[in-house]
Amino acid sequence: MFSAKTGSELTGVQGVHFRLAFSVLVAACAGVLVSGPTHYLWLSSAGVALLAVGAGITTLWSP
Amino acid sequence: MVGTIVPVGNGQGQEKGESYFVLMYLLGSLVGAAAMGWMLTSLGVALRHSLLAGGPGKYVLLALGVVYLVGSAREVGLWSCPLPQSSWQVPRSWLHSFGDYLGVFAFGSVLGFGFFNPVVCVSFYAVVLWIVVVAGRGAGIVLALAYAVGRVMPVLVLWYVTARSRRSTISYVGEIDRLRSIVYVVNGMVLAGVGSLLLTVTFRR
Repeated sequence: MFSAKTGSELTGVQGVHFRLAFSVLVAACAGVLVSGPTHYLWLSSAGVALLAVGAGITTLWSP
Repeated sequence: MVGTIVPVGNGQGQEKGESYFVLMYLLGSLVGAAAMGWMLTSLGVALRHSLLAGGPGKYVLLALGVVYLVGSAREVGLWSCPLPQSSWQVPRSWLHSFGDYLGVFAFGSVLGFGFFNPVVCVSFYAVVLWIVVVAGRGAGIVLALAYAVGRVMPVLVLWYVTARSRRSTISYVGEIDRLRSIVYVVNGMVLAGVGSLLLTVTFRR
């Protein structure tokens, strides 16, 4: 079973990726809050689609 | 799983995956995922018509947002809990029973279905929940196919790379392992983002 490192534990390239992903997340949330979540369904669906691809990739590491 | 799927799709120890094996694995995965999407959306449509008055209401979205946020913390390793999963494996005898190509197709379709293998991330269940609670039939099948694409993509990349190099596929396992934390962290971030968005929408309604 996989035990992920937390973001603060990541260093080097992985740390950069984490910070980049976190920055994009914060920017996206800020954008939604400022503009009003009128297109939330589309945004959420896009997020879940990305999540589906990610979930598929993680099966590489299933036992 | 890498050692099972790679060499690509056949699980028999061939170092250079053949194109037809890859194609059959790809097709099987897509067919299995489409079946999963169809089944889950059917369940979702039935549930929504009987319990949710046609669509998810404010409190359902609120609950979904909370589940996503809690799940995101697990995805990045802030806490852990066992996930429901099947320990059943596709029998190797299928390759003999169905023949090589059909066996690989069956292998891909069972894996593409998603439930008949160990599940190591929350993201899978987040997608399943979304398909059942929110997505329409078309969107549900597209999301399931996206899962299959994510599942097949690394195999395709490995097949492409190993077909053009002298290195064996197994020699890439160490490099693949280095990507693990990145994939989990990005998944966790996206999960948190969608959860936050759902909560925001719920409180603004």
